[in-house]
This record gives sequence, structure tokens and C-alpha cells, in this order.
Amino acid sequence: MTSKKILFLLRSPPYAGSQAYETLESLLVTAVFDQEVSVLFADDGVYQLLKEQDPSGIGTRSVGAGLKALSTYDVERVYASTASLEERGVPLGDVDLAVETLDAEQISALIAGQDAVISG
Amino acid sequence: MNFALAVYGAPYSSQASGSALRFARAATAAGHKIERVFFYHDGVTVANESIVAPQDESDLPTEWTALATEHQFELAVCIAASLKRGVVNETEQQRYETPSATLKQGFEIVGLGQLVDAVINAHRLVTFAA
Repeated sequence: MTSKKILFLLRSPPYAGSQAYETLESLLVTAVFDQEVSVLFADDGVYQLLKEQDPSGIGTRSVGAGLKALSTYDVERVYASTASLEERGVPLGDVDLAVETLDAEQISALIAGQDAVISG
Repeated sequence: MNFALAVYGAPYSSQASGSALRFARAATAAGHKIERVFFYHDGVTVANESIVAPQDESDLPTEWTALATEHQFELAVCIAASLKRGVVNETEQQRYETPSATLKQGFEIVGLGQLVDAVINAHRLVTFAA
């Protein structure tokens, strides 16, 4: 099968409806198809990175727990927008996942290098 | 050019489905091909056959199926997203014993792999967010 460079641009907060979790599901399926998957957390999507998420009180699945599957699926290119982290006061100390932070110029280069971008 | 479309927004709540439909219409009119339209998130609700469009607004579900029939492309509805939003075909209706099947004829309930497949086979993926 053709291998394409596919970036998942995750911009949704983790618990504002199903969008974040459903996008994570599509990300993991894409990884199973042996595509060159990268992930970029930007805008409110950086809230997905916060550690110790416990959504048990709102009857929904934990996006944080789901993201731990990324390494299992060999998704190792995981990035976060420096500006989005700073604007929202999310310090890397509150993030468990190994992410590389990118500035606006690096994000432009990352997106330009993709065959497709799936946002969600 | 061969386009894959991803539609995330529900009809009438979001402009996503209407914009995607108009894009698909313009693309096919210009001689381009639509690889597949993949409805995801709230976008799957366009496949609910019980939708009654207001008389003075676009009948989005029917306009989708008419365009897809004319240009021979698939209207794919994500199964994981559709089940929890009440869009079920006869197989799923029997499996989960829901009162009735609700999938409009012309739409297909598929797995997420069909999104990946469309992205791999198309030249471009165009996403219509909610």
C-alpha cells in the first residue's frame, strides 16, 4: 500500500463533545494502515495533553488515556504549538506525553511537507 | 484531480455539509473526480432518512444522493460516529435491536479505514469542519 505523510492537526479541547476522541480514533486507524503519521496539538487541542485527566464524572472516555496508545501504534512524531501552550498556560511540566514544541515557522514547514492534513 | 472530502458538521446546524455539497458539485462540473465523501463526527447525521428539509431550504440529504448517483461516488458514513447518533442500517438495527433502521438509501455505513483509503487514493483531501 502507498505510504503517505499524513498530519493530524488536533485543535479541539478534549471534553467539548466527541470530536477529540473520534479524531484520535481516526488517527490510530491511520497508523494501523502503515502511513507516516504525525500529530500536532494546536489551539484548544493542547488541553488534550494535560496529564491526570479524569472524565469519569461526565460519562465519557479519557482522551488523555487514549493518547497513551500513540506509542503503541508507533506514532512518534508528536508536536505541540509553543504559542498555543503559552497562550493557554499549559506548561510542559503538566504534560506526560513526549512532545516536541514548534513555533509558527516550524509548523508551516511541517504542514507544507505533508501529503494530507486531517484536522479535528 | 481526484478529491476526497471529509464532512464534520451536521446539516442545518453547521455550514459544512452544504459547503461540501457545493464544492463537490463545482468540482465534478469542472471535470474533477470525487474519490469518496466521508462523513464523520456530527456530519454523519445527514444520512438520517427521517430528515425533513424545510421547503425553502436545500434538501441536503437528497441533493447528496442525487449528485453521488450522477457522478458515481460513495457517500461513506463512519460506523462508530453514526451508531451513537442514531444512524443505523438494517444490519446494525438487527444487531443492536433498535426500533428501526434510519440510514437513507444512497449512503453506506463503513469503517474508519475508508477515510484512510480515500486519503491514500485521492490527490487532495478537503475537510469541511463543523
